[in-house]
Amino acid sequence: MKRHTQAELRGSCRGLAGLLMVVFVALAVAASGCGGSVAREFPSYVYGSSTSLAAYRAAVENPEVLAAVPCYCGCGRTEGHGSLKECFLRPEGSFDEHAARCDLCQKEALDAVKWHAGTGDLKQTRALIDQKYEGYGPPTDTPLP
Amino acid sequence: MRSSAEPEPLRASATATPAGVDRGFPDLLAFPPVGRLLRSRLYPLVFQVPTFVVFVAIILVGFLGVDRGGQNAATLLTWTFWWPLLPLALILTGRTWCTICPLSASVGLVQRLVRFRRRVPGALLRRNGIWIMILAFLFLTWANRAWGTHSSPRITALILLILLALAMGVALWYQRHTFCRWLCPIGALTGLYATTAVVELRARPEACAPCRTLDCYRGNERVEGCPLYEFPRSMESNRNCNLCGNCIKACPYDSVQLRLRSPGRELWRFRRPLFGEAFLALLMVAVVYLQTVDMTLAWGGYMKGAIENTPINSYNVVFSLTFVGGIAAVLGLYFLVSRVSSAIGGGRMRVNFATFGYAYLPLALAGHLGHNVAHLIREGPVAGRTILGQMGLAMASGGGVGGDSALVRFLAFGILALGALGSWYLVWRIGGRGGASPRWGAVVPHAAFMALLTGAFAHLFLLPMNPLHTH
Repeated sequence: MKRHTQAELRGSCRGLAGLLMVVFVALAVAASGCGGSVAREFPSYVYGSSTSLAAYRAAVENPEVLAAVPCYCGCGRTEGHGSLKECFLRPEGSFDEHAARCDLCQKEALDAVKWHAGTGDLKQTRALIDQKYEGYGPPTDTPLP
Repeated sequence: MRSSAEPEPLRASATATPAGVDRGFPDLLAFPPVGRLLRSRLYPLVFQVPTFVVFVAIILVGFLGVDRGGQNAATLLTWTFWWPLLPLALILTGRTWCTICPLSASVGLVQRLVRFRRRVPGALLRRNGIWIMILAFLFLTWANRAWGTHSSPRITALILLILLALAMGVALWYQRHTFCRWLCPIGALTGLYATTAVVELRARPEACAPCRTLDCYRGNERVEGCPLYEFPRSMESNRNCNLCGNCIKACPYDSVQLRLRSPGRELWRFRRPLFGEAFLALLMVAVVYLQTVDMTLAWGGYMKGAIENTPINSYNVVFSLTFVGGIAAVLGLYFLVSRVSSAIGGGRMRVNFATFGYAYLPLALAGHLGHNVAHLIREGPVAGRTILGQMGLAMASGGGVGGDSALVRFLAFGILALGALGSWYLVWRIGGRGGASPRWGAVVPHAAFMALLTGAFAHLFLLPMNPLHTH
């Protein structure tokens, strides 16, 4: 049994080294991913996932974009929201927990900000959001930009 | 139907008689429905076809359906139903899932359609396969949080498609089910969990004595040999037996039997404990804990503190460091415990590490099941309604997440208690087997570490948890 365990340990050390290499590569990949440039304090519920944090950061940096697009998660009827912005930020400026629990709001916000960065036009951004998300649920009653 | 190339010769140790075959329970193959099923030419094809069809449908729905985890059958079927139910299936039926698995079915399909001389897996793959599987499993676990796999139908479908392509590619190159044995990301895990099963398939040494053809391993004109390169005659573990029934059909001496047994009975009887498997058992304890804690509401507070009070601004970097650190902490503590255990009870630390690692398996399983029972009970009904609604079979789909919290807590803590008791029992049996002196010297450090881990899981199960998906 001693010979078997020693041989396995040698292989195991190689395996562990390989595992560490992969971990470091993964860290590098992760670090090169969503870094986020805003240093700002958010409530703890925002930090439930990387997508949630990225979406709230995007909302804080681009409130006018989110105010121009509707949310299709159904919150217009259940929460009385008037736009995607209200899923993240209340009218008085404080944070709303709704988007932290809704993956659809997060995806929409990230898409809206990404497309607006590409088009620079709120009307086009709105059209793209409507085109992609109109089948997901009833939209909020958001006026066209 | 022999393989197109001669299989690798068996080593002498492989032909030894397995230790401790449990004759206390009757042979289930003598029960007509079970015996007829496992001896049938249609088994396991009759199960593989529907699972393969569902698997392909999941991939298609994942790519083409609604891109929202709580409303797409791909994510719901995979993460709300399959992943929580898998460990339960492994405990009840051993590694049977691996027989009906769509990846296994695809391997069989490729090897039936494309017939040419294939390679036998070399020593390098055989020796390091477990580490490949562990790395792949760790990567998928990390990606689950870093990329939000369980809430993304597209990523779920992509991962399944990649696994399908890999399985079929390996099947073109290597004989038998090499992918399942040495490369599948959950292959090592299913094998390890299967060692706790309440059933086992073993041969009768006295019936095997006159055999010179080794049909159970090599196959014959009627049926192929063991797809996972196991030799039933000397098989002492469920780890590489997927109950495909090939050996039952191939054996001319009717030697192979399927019996009920005490759960985990083989775990204190291994003649050759494997370092990699012991490592995986402790790794599972750490991974299950981390996968549970990052779904609690308290996780947000931890990440807020880590991101806002350190120079690291990236969620994924902080998560990755926590992931690696958590695993390193559990394994590091286990290393210390093994040192203390071997110092007091005698024996080499390396042997102690490999042998006692299996004792933690019930705890890992309990953590896995206890966490997922909450998702299954709270989200299963609404997930089921959603899936049926998308198939046009239900009037109302969606709805809120519910479930009786008291029931969930009762089940979670009950499962945890069973797991802890199982682990303590195992550590006592393993301690006695190795001839440790004093026995308590080898056992107490591990038992204390198990108590610490049990307490950590119990605390975790008390914390409010986020659902898998929003519906």
